[in-house]
This record gives sequence, C-alpha cells and structure tokens, in this order.
Amino acid sequence: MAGRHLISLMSAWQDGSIEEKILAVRQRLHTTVYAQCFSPCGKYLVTANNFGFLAVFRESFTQTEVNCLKFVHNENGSQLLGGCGDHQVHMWDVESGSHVGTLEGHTNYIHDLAVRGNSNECISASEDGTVRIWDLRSRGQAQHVMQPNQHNLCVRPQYGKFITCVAVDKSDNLMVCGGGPRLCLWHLRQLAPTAQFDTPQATANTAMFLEDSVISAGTEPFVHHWSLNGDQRAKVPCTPSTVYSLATNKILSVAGNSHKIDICTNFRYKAFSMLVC
Amino acid sequence: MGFYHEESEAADRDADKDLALNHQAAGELKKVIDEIHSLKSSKSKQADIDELRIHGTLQFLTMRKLNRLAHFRCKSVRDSTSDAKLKIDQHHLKLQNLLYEAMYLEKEITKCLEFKSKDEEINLVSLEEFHRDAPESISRPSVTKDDPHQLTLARLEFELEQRKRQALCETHKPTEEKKNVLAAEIKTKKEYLESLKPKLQTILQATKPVQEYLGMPFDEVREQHMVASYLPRPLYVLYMQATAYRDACDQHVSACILGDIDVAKSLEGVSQHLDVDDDESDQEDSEKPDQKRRRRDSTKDPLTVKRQKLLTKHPLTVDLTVHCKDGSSLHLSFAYLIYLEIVTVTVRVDPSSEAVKDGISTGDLCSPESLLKCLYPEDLGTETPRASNKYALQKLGMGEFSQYVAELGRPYLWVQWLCGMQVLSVCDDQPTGTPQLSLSEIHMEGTIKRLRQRMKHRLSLHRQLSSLGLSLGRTEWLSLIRTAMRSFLLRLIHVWRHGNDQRARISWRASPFTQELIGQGIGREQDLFFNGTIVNKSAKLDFFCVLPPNYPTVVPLFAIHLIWSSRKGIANADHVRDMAAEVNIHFSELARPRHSEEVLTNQIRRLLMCFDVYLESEFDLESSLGHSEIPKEKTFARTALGPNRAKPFKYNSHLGYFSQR
Repeated sequence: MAGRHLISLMSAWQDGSIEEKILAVRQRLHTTVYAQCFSPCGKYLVTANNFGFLAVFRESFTQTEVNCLKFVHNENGSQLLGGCGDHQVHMWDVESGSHVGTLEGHTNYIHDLAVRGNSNECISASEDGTVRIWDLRSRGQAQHVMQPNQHNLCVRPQYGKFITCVAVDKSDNLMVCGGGPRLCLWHLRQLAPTAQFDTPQATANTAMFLEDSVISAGTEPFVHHWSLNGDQRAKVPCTPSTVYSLATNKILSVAGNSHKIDICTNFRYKAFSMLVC
Repeated sequence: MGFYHEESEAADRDADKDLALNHQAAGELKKVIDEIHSLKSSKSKQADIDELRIHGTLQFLTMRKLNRLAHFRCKSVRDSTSDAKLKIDQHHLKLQNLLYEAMYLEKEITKCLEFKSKDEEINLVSLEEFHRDAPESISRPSVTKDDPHQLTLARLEFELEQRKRQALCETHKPTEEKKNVLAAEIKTKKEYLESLKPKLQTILQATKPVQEYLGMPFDEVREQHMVASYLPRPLYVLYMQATAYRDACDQHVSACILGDIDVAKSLEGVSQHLDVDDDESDQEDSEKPDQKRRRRDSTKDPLTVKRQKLLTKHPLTVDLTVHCKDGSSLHLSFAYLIYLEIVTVTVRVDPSSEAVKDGISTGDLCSPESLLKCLYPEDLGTETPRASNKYALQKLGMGEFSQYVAELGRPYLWVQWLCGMQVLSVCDDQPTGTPQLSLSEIHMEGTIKRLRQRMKHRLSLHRQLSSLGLSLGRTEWLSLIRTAMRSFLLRLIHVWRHGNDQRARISWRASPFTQELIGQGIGREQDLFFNGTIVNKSAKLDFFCVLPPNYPTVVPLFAIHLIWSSRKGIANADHVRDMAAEVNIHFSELARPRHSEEVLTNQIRRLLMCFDVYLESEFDLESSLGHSEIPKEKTFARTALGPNRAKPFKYNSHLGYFSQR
C-alpha cells in the first residue's frame, strides 16, 4: 500500500497534469517524518513520513496503528514488542511471526517503549499519563505504575499528562520520560524522579541516553543535550519545528515535521540536511 | 654395360653382312655335321671328330651371337615405328579441330548475312532529297559522307523528325478551333456581366430604405470589411478569424473595428514612404529596419519624440466582445504597435446587472491587470514577446516594457497567436511580415473558451468571497458538511476593493509564519492575496490565502497561524500545520464533484470546521482538569493519534464523525 502511494507520487511528477504536480508540491510542504531506523550494518537509514512509508508490521499483525517497535532477545527467544493504538503492547515471535501475547492495562494509546538491560522487563509510556513496567515472562498486570503528573518535579497541568517518550540507560538504574509533564530522570529502584530537564515552551517527543548524557527533542526546533544532574549542556538548532525522532550511529540524525532530515556529525551542530522526497 | 655394348654393336653392324655371316656359319655347321656323320660311319679317329666338333661349336656360338643382335635390331625398329604413329595421331586431331572451327565460322557468317533489319521496311527519302532537305544538325555531312552506317542513322532520324511534325500539324487545327469558340464564349459572358452591374447598383439603391427600415447591417458589414483592408496585417488576421469563428461556431462573440479610418489611410501612405527611406539606407548598411529607423530618428528628432514614436499604436483597433451566459461580457481591445511589431490587448469587464449590484466591476479580482494573467501557463503579459524589442527599448534608455503596459495594453503570447504571429520568446525574428492564418485558426476556439472560463471563474470567485462576508451558511454549497459551526469568520479583507491585494501581499511577505512558504517559492507576482481571521472565544486563527491566477485549476493555498490569548505558547505548531494540510491537500473531499467554482468556499468552510475540532479536542483532553471554555459538540472516536498526537480533522460525512487521517 505504501509502495503504491509512493509510485503514484512519482508518476505524478513524471507525467501528471499540473494539478497533480501542485498537489505533490503541497504534500511536500506538509510532510512529517514519524520514524527512522538504522540498519545493523550502519549503511542504511530508513525513514517514514505521513504520506509514503508505513510500518511493515501494520497490515499483517494489528488492526491499529503501531507507534513504537522494540526488539527483545531473552531466554524465550527473540521477540518484537509493539506499542499500539489499542492501548496494548503486542508481542510477536520473530522466528515464526506469530502473535504471542499482549500487555494490557493502559487506558489510552502507547506512545513509546523501552527495554531494560536484563531483557525481561519493558517500560511503556502512554497517552493516559502513566509509565508502566512489565515483566515479559509473566505477562500479567504491570509490575509498577508511575504517574509523572503526580510528582511536583514533573507536573505541568497546562500541557496535559500524556507521556510521549521513555528511555533506559545501560546500567539499568536510570530512566528518562516526559511529554506533557516535564522530561525527568527517574531512579528505577526508588521509582521516583531525581532530576528535571525543563523546556518551558515545549513538550518532549523523544529522548535517549548517550554515554553520560541525555539527548531530547520536542515541539521546538532544538535538540537538547543534558547532563544527568539536570544541567543543560547544549541546545542545538535544527530544521524541523517539531522533532519526532532522533537516531544515532556515530552521527546523530534528527527527523520531524519537515521534508529535510538533519545530520549532526559532531552532535553539537547541524552539519547538513537530507531531503526526504 | 655388356647390354649397352651389344645394343650399340647391333646398330653399328650391317644387317646384311650379318645375314651372310649367318648363312656361312649355318653352311659350315652343316658341313661339319655331315663330316662328323661320315667320320662316325667310317669309324675314324676320335681326334678328328673332336676337332670337327670344336669347329662346329664355334660356328654355333657365332650363330648365337648373330641371333642376339638380330633381336636387338628388331626391338629398336619397333620403337621407332610406334613413335612415328603417335606423331601422326596428334596431327590428325589438330586437323579435326581446325576443320570444326572453320565450319562454325562459316555458319555464323551465313547467319549474319541472312539478318533482316527493321529499317529496311521503312521508306526513306532518296539520298539526294535527304542531302538537300535535311538540316545540318541531322545530316552531319562530315561524318555521313564516308560512313554508310552513320548515313542511314541520320536518314532515319530525319524521317522521325518529319513524322513528328506531321502529327503536331494534325492536332493543331482542332485546338485552334476550340480556342476560338472559347474566346467567343468569354466575350459574350463578359458583356452579360457588364450589363448586370448597373442593374445591381440600381437594385442596391432601391433596397437601401428597406435595409434601414429593417435594421439589417449588410452595408455596415461591407463598410467594416472595407475598413478591414486598412488594418495592419496581424489585426486583419485576427479580425478575419474572429468573424469567421463568430459566423461558424459562436453567436456570442462579436468583433468590430474602431478608430480613425482617415488617419489609417494617411498612415498607410506614410509608412510606405518610410519604407522607401529604409530602402535607401539599406544600401548604406544592412541592419534590421527597427534599428535603422531609430538611428535615423535619433539624428533628426529629440529623444522624447523618438521614444513616443517607438510606442506608436496603429490608429485602428479590433474590439472583440465575448458574452457570457449570465449577461456579463468581456471586452478585449487589440492594438498593434507599429514599430515594435507586437499586438497588445486591453480588457474591460461589463458585469451583468446582478454583478453590478454586488460591486464586482471595481474589484481587484476583475481588474484589467490581473484578469487575463496566466490564461496559458506562465503567460503574464508584462514582457514583450519579441526579443528584439528589448534591445530597441534599451537603446533608447526606456527600461523594461512592463513600465508601459498600463498605457499600451498587455502583449500576451496568446494575443500574438490569435493574430497569427508565431513569436519565439528566445530566438526571435521569424519573418514578421507574414502572419499565418492557420496559427490563428488553431488558437481561436481554445482561447475564446479559456476567456469565457476565466471570466466565469472570476465572477464565481467574487460571489463566493462576497457571500463569505455575509453568511457562510448558504446551504446549497454545504450539503456535504452537516455539522454546526461554532467558529465564525470575523473579518475577511475584501479583496475586491482596490489596493487590498497589495496590502495583503505586503503583510504576506512580512508575516513570520509565511516565511517557510516564501522560501519554497510560493506566492509569486501573478498571484492574488487576501487574508482573514477566524475566531472562537479567545482563540483566533489568522490566515493568508494565495489565490493563483488560474483558479480553480490551481487551488488556493492557505497559510494559517493560531493566536490563543488564554493559552499562550501552548499550541502545538504541528496541529496548525495539519489544519493547513487539510485545506491545501485534501480540498477535494467534502466537495461536490464537478463544482470546481465552490473550491474556495469549501476550503474556508473546512478551515472553520478544523478549527472547531482543534479547539474542542484540545479542551476535551483537559476536561479532566476541570475547566472547559469550549464544550465538546462534535463526535470523534479518538482525540489523539500517533507520535504527533494528531487531531481528528477528517470528517466522515456519511456517519457524521471525525477521525484522524
């Protein structure tokens, strides 16, 4: 389906009428890049926008949208986790492609997923304002339910309670999550926020750990670099006015509501931009 | 060796002598045998017998030797005989061949002698006659005197010549007769026609009062045609084609010629005079007529006169009126610039009485500058289509042609086409003197159609805009959108008042939220602009609309900006962007098919709807927090979807609910 759409766009450019061409130009104006991923060899970067590319698993596995995909490898084999629009986390066996289970409990759709270092637990962030920690082996109710908007460090009533992003560091002790509430660093053993990464004018859309720092971006045209104690290390301007996705592979690529993808070779400034369509 | 010796010995010795020797030896032998026989019978001594026997043996040897020699001799004789025989055979064969060849040649000779040529059947004139009558070119005495073959050829040629002449003579006579008959016929017919002319004139005179009484424009047409002959060639082509088109296809198009015919007549003489001048200067230099004329002007006249002269219009113009169904009409006045050799057009709209009521005639939408822009893609009519004109203008320091457009009219490309002039914008100077009828023919119908459509669309656009100000709820346009609106259009800058387009254009350039679009090359010189504001409680949506000249082929583009005083800085820019995408990309939804004239109304309506949805869903998310400025009225399945928490802007008109795209 996605392929057909792309081909129709291409053919409109080649032999279409003037209306189709104008339409294609206008679609470019309103292109948003939702997701991106590096291939294991590091040579390919796959991106997806709102007109062209859809997730491969969408048609075959679920009837609802998949907002996040994570890969888990533990003693049960390799599994794919999908945070979906039907308020559930779906699990698929990678070998057979079969659906092996769901994690139910959220009351609104899932924005983001993170997998803990032991590969037996995953963390989900949802539109309903909760962050839940699940045991993948037992598959019952969530082990822990966190509500960032109940903590003074995080709460921002004017933006709402939705959580858009969650990430876990390598040591498995720290988690970062945010959205409507402020982006905060949480201690996973105490299950309490320890430091805030405040962006007063914006909500976070994506966050990640990189060595000893946190990188985040959201509804403003900047990529923020934070140290773990909450100090801002850098604020790098970027092209999209809203960033939806960050990816690293020795370089940092930034994608959002623009038809350009920014590439930062040095992380601290934008080196160049790539055109999506 | 011995063999060879004996052979030569046999050759050397005489055979006859050997024969005698043989006979002698044989006689001796016989004698010996007899003696021995007698001795034996006499029983004589053995010694005598032995002696005789030795003698006999010797004879025997001699005979043997002779016998051998005889054999050799016999052999050599046989050899020489066979050699001679072979030689005889060869000679015999040669003789046979020669005999056969001789026979064949003889046969050929007789065949040749028996050959009969065709010319022998033709009776040629006698030799004396030939030499006397034949022209030198045929008889060629130098060659034919000694060569009977050439002579015969020449005589044959002469015969052919004479026969041809004879045949022509035969056909000549009837043709002559025929000619005479025809000439006579022509003469009688001519006389008849000449007698007819005064009769016709009297009839014409007699019908004049009737014509006037009935208001039939035969004479007028005749006069127009007479005037047409004074038109410059391109306008003549236009006039001809337009009248032909009117007569054949379309009664609602009319063409007439306006202007001072006397000036045109006098100009015709003047321009010829100018041409003569040019011819003289041609001998001095061989530059283009334009430049020559200018150069001469520059030496004789002050600069201003020269400049004016360059922009001179022909005194006659062709006026084309296109009537539309709703009673409004479009007046196009075509003028020819004599020295620039281009045709320009000025346009005037006569709106219908209904439209006058709405005040359409004064609007920017139907202003002469913008009405015909981009009738064909990228045809703005500000640049002169003839490249040589640019040089001419530059040389006189007159700047760009676009400065004079207001006063001269616009030289659109299609105007040149209608006048039969193929103007190539880059590589110019096709021969200008011969406008082609076919070119005008090709474009006439299409252009009239486009003119009509443009007019219709502009008027409908105008009606839409004026009705937007009054009431958005005109149901016949909105049958597909059945949901009530809370937002309303607070203010729409009235684009049909003069100058507002310019003001909107300036603020478009200055606005911070349009910069990205400007960077993408949106909003060009030929586009029209207007802006407006939509309000709902404390929220306000400013929008700019870029109206392309070829609306509705190219759909208007909206740029929007949200100002929300009670929730400053909270708005997610992406949702505003989605709203714009809704009207800019998905404009064809919720519109009735084949009603392209409603596009703008539908877009604004959609914008209002999206704004409602945006505000309601925003408050719906917050309703848990306890305060709600705007109650939720619309049905939507989900308030947010995906990473950008997209709003449900897409309306399902069958089931009446909103969903995400």
